Amino acid sequence: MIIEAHGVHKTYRSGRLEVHALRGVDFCVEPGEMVAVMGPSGCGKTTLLNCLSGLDELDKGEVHIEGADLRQMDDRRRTDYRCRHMGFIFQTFNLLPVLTAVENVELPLLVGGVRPAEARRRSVAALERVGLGERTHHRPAELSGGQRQRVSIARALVNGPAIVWADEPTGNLDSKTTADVMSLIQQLNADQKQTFVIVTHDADIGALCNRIVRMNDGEIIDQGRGQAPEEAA
Amino acid sequence: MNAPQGMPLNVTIALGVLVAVVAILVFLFLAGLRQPVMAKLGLRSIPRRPTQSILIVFGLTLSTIIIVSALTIGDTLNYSIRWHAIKSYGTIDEIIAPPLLATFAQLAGAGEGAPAGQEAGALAGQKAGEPPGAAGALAAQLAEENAGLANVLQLLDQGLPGIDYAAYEQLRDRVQEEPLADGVAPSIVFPTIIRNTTTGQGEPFGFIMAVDDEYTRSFGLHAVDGQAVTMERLRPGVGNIFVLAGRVFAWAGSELGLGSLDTSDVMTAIAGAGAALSTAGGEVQPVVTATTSGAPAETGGAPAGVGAGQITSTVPVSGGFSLADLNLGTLTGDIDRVLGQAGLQLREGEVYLSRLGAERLSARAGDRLEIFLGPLPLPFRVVGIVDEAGPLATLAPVVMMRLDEAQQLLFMQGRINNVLVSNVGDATGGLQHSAAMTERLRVLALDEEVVAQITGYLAKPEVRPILADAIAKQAASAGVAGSTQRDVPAGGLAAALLGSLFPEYRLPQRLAGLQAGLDEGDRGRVRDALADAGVRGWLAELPVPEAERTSWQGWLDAVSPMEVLEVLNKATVVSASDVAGTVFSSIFTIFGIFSILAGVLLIFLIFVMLAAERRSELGVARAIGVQRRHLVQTFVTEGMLYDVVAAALGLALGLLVSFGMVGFVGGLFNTASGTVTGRPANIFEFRFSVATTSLVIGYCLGVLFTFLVVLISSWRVSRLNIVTAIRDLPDEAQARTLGSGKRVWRWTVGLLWLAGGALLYVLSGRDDHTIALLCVSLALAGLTTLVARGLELTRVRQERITWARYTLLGLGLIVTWGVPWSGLLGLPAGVALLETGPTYLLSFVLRPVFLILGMIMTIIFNADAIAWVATRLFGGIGWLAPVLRTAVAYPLNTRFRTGMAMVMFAMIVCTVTVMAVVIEATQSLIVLDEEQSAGFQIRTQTSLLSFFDPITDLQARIADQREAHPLLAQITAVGGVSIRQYYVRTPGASTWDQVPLAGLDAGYVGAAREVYPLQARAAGYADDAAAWEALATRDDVAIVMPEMLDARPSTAGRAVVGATGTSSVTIEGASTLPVAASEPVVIEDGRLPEAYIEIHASGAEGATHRLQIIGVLAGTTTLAGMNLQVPLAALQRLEGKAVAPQSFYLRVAPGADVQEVSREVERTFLGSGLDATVMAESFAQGQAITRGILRLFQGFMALGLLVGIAALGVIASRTVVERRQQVGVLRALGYHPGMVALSFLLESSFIALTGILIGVIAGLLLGDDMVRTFFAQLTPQTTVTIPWGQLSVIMLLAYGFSLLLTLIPSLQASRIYPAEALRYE
Repeated sequence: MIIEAHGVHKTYRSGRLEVHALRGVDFCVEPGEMVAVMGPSGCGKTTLLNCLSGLDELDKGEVHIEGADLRQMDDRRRTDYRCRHMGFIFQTFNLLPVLTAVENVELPLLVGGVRPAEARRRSVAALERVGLGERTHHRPAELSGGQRQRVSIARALVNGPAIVWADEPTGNLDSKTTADVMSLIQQLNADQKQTFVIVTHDADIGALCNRIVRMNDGEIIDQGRGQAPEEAA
Repeated sequence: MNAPQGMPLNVTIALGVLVAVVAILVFLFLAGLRQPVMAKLGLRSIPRRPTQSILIVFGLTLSTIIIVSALTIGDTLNYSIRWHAIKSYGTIDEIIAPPLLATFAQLAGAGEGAPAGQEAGALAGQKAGEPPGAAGALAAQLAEENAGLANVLQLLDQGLPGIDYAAYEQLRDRVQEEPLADGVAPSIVFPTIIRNTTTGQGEPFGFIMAVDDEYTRSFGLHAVDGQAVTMERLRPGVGNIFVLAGRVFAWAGSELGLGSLDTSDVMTAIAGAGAALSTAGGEVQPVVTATTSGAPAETGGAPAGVGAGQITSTVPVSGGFSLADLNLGTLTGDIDRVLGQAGLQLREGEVYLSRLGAERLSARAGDRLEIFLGPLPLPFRVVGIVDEAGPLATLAPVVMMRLDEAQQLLFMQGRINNVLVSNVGDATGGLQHSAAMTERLRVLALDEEVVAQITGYLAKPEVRPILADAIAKQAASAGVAGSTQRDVPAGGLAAALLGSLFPEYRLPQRLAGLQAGLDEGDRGRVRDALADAGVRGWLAELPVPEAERTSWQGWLDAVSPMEVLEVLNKATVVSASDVAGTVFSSIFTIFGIFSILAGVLLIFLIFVMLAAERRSELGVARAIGVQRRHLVQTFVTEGMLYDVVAAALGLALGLLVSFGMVGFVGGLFNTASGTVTGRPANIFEFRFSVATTSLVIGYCLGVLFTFLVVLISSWRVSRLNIVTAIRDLPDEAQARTLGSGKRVWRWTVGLLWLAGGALLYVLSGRDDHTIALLCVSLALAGLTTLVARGLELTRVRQERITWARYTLLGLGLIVTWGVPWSGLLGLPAGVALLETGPTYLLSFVLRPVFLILGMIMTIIFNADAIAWVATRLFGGIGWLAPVLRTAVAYPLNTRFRTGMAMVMFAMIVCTVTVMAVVIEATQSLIVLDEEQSAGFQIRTQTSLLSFFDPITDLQARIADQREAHPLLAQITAVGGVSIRQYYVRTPGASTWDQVPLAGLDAGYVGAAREVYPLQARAAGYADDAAAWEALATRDDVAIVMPEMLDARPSTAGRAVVGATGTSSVTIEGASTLPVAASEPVVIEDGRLPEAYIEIHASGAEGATHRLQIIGVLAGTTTLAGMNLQVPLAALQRLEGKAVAPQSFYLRVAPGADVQEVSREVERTFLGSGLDATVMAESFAQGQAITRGILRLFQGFMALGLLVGIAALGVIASRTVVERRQQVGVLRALGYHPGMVALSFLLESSFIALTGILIGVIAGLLLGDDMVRTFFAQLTPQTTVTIPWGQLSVIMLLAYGFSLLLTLIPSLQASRIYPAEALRYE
């Protein structure tokens, strides 16, 4: 298992109000698998993604990524781990508006200590791979939504992460662009054998994944049928 | 200064700004009632981010602090001057006096006048209508050899000018009938030298103020402890020693059958006796000592060692004694002795001493003073230190003496020379009646009898037409001159000054009154007209028949025996204090203007950022139907709440700042004074004060400034694009389709810039350096705009176009304003200043502004390259590369905001740096080196009272006194310099130019030759020594400074004088005279061609004196200072008599105590009014005060740094909020908290350091420019010292504090939890 989570609890507090976002979630993912996490709005999908990726702390439970216990890591080690082993794709792209496409993509490499020239070379290659070789020096504001998400995908994959977390990656895209982006993700998953965990509420997207995990009210109600990555592709 | 309605200007301003503020608040309140939602939207934003709100309030306080402290400093100065004036004046409001000072000046002139022998002889021995006195011939001989004696003898015989007591009583009775007057008193005021023999402290210029108990009854007199004192209790002293001596001699004369003797006979007889005693029989009395005993002081408190009333005066008489050595100083001992032989004693009288006098003389009750009557020191005991010692007590030490005693001492029996008037009301209440009382007093002071004579004469039928014709002519010429003359304000300082300076302003009305008075037989109106000095002057020119002219002139001279001394009116002094306060606060405001500007930028920045943060909210609001004006209302409401709180805080802080500054300035003056006098002093006591109007003005101006900026920025905010705002996209994301009109306009803007530059160039006359640079700048703006428009037609991306446009403009501005063009063109800065006039001064403002703009534009639009270089340099440090990338990228994304913050920093740092460079220059360039001092250590200067006992040869006088004053033996050299205005021309020229020149005696030349090398000499002078020797021994040569010759430095030591071929000698920059040579004068290899000038005393008649210029000094600084330096002998030859130097310089033997020698010189020659100062100490005092004042200004300007620092704090704080989500992304991508914090800190550092660096560069360039312009002693080769130490401290402090203030938001950013931030919307 590349991701192994057991009894994950997460509660948010806002004043006197407590929201139990995760209630003892168990969740496992095989290497190279592309998993969709689906469920109604507010069921805890994004919270699960945040907790499993180390972006957020758990209240209770265990999370092992590639065998490493995430809870045993301090913030620094967890951050380093994220930088080297994980990639992120967000619904709102979350590109830094002040940087060009290539600068956005090379940022994780620079953070990971790759020398600037090497980082630039790899970033340009990543952008070419997602079909944006002509747009490397454009800022996010100068790109369309689909192009921005491609940059976001390039950024997520540029350092060759084992796991890519995608939170509603097509939520802000039209249907054609959604199809393009998903096709790209599938292709990358097939080519590079990277694990994808995709949070989505779009059934069509879920259908493209190896497995659909369904959540409701902070719990996983269906782990979905197992399907070899090759089959899904 | 009054407003037209009579309301003081500051009250008018205060009311105006208060009304404006109230109106704004009321308007906003009403708008809030009408649209409460909009008001709530604004107000509820404030508590959302408390830290930012606090920072905003802090930033907004700065301009109020600066305004309030500037106003308070002015108030304090104003109040302090008023306080000192009112303390001295007490209830005296006006003073009426005969023209005493004018008489004195005439006497002084007569003393130095050419035909001294005959004139003084006539004064001394040949009174009008009388045969020569018994000692007339001796007096004439004495006077010929010692003009000062003639002056004194004249005073003795004629007495001082004044009015009879009877005339005073008439005047008093008339004044007392005036409803606005509540007191009149007679007084005598007379200049004197005062020495405190108890402490040894002397003051070469002070005053006797003599009053009787009419003064204490009507005006009040109080000791400094507040206790009332009277004049009656003062015990009289010596009385008129000359009268006493005269009685003795009269008795002796009658006994010996010599006939009647008058006072001058007595004096000359004493002089003769003194001479006979010292030369007869070969027996020389080395020291003549007279000892008399007086009664012991009643008040006690005399320090031990001072004999009670014991007066000892020692006067050495050398073997070479001659009449030429005689003066009244040397006679004093003889008088004592003679009086002693007759059984008379010099007895100590008692006086009060003014507050300032006590400070200057280190005196207290019980101390013994010597008060000099001319050269004679008379003993008095101080019985109290008092306030209310009269108007002159603010300027100089004043001793208050009994009136009857002063009348005896000054030969003014039955006469006085001042009438003091008090208006109804107390010391301050009487001020309001001053203008009216002055008018009345002018009339009352007229001589009624003479008024009747004049009226009668003018009423004569043959005179009336003459008068009427003259008045008609005058009216016609006044009409030509302009009718505005009649529109003079009726009251106030301006009117008083105009009226006193330009009597013609009120002449037409006065003459009309005179004519009407004569027509109606109303002598009152005639009297009113005659009270005006302008009318009297005009009447003096009336073409009366020649036979009657003398008596007519005599009446006019006699009609006003006394004048109201308007200059000394308390109201005038108090008005002057208002002006001084206003000037001072204006200077501070001007110096603070950069800080205020920085504050304005900050306010603008704050509101731009507020708007940026709420862009989507505002977009939504607009989408649902909110009008632009509603958005403005929202922001203005929020801004005003910050504003009113911040202005109140600024008011309190401003008061604190100014309190500190007042303490600093007060301490500065007194400490600087203490370094010289060796004791704590209180030259001028600053009393902290703040007027209510200043508080109102400071507060309201602070509010209004902020309001205006908030209004403008709110308007800018309201013009957002709804779609891009809602989606929070950058404005450029919106595709802009420009209409054809707008496209044309965009091209026109560029053309307008170009046309503006060209037009300014043509209008300026094309030869103005600064305007030319301004034209180039405008042209650059136009060209770059047009280039950008052209590029927009191509496929070049907008980003590159913007980059090209602003980079070109930035570089262009740097080259235009950064390159020292005047230097490259061969014009030294000072020359450029002279040649281009005031606009050159404008460059001191424009140059830093344009340089800063140029540099910031260039950096901001090219910082990508900087970031690239930085990334390459530090890329090896793994985590630093991405941090650098984001730290530079973010500020560059908001160029306007970043640029403004940089401009703020740069402007303030620039002004502070300029001040640092100037302070350093004043300290390092102006050093008291040999060039400044010519090797002398002590400077002595003569005063108004020196004419009693003038010193023409101090060296000889010192030699005479060495035995009695052994310390004087330490003086090894004495040099004398006389600075005078003469008329100068080249031989044969038709016009004369009045120029100052320095007459040097041999002693000065002897020192100067060692210090000042010559760059060129005339033929026949083998070396510098030969030229200097000629200056010391001849009277027909001159040495000049390089400025006098229009010599520009050229290569190979060759200077061309009159490069254009029209040879010229420029004197003091005032005139250019052709030299005698017909060919252009070329100085080659240090050879000066023959050149001559002629000098003349008056430029009209009489002999001229021709001098050859035999040398040109190498440097530009000498102790004597003038461009034209001639032998003193040349002046003596021209004037036909001895010319006394005004300044003597003394050199002291190595190892001697210069301070002690200086005191000894002053003590020894105090009777000659000689004031001795140690040059190094007075120099240090001046330096300390200059440095202190400049530091104060520097500190004041540095207040603006707080603005810059606050700006960075606000920016950092805001960016954390703005970028919360992006921080989450960075954290998700692998940024550690430390990297996030560092990124924010580096971002602030980028802004702060760039601003600081640019500010320092601009400041150094400008500072260098200013120093070279204003410090004439700098040559183009001199390097201006840069105070790196001070600059480092300034830079570190500015950066350190800005870092500190951005640290908190940076740490806040680093603590943002990624998941939370990514969820944040």
